[in-house]
Amino acid sequence: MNRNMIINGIDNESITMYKELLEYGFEDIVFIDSDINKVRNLNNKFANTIAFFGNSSSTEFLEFVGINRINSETIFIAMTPSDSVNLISCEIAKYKYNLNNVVSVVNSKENLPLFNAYGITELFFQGRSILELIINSSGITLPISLLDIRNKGTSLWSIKIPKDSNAIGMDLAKLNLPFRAIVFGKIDSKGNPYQSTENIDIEEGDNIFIITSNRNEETMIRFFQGNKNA
Amino acid sequence: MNILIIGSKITLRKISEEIIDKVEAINFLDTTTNNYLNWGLSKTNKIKYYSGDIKKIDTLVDAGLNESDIIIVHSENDTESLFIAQKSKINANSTIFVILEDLVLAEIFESLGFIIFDSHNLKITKLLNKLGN
Repeated sequence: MNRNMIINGIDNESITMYKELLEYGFEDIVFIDSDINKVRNLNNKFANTIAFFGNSSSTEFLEFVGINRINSETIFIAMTPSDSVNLISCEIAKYKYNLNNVVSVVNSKENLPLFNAYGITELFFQGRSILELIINSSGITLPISLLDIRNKGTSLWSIKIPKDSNAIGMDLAKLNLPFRAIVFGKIDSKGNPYQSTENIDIEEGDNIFIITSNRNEETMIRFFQGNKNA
Repeated sequence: MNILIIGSKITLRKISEEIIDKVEAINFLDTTTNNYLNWGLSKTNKIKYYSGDIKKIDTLVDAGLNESDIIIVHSENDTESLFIAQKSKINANSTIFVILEDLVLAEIFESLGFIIFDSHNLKITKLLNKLGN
């Protein structure tokens, strides 16, 4: 089956992204944006028209750019700087046109659970890694998503245990999390790995590895957070 | 019942005028409280006004989201209204009404549990029924 791709949002990286996608074998790509200048500027860089001006919450416009093309699998990507535009356009793609391949950028961390709750689970959080590294190095626990389990809204998480964590001293094999999760084990501060079946205490500096739904992120933070940081 | 009204469009003013006698409290929230200055409801002590970034959960909670039985949203545009409505759905017992300019998206969001009103043909029977009219 043919594939066509609609990218909602034009930015400084769009040209590079377009060329790289062509190299990956995607030939049928269009950009859409509600800023006429961005659309003009992008089109001026190419001989053919690859960008269209319009409202991404308009089904008429989305159909015009090929969201319901017959005999083609449409991939919809939302990457505007507005989470409201990204979420609503992805919901239209997913729920009205039943697209399976819907991907979104999330600009604000507080909106990640919202996207997950409404079934938009292929997400990229802008600047997440840098933020997490900074926050973790300052002694506050944040789970780091190491791996997204595709289309499930679930991730493999790594959580570094801070000095004042309530989890310190708990038996790894008896860890009773207040949400559904698979605990893989831990790596201690010296780099030694332990399985979750081993009766060993959780210590400061350990990294715990857990598979759980993305919507449990805040609960995870509360569970592993130290008293001083709570 | 406690009502949280998000936005300051004329539709919300009309709705609030109709329901003010049927509710315990109405909290209004918009980017600025100046948008409510000319509303005749300003002197009623059932009403409180809040302002802030209406897309932020902290702003919504400060305006009484957790205590609200009914939330009514009519913001700058349909995309923003629907986003705020979804963000406001933190309590399973609350009912959320969204006023849209274009009903083409109504079906999708009704299926997600929201009650949609048409801004161009405002009929609030479902809201009045909820209030026990």
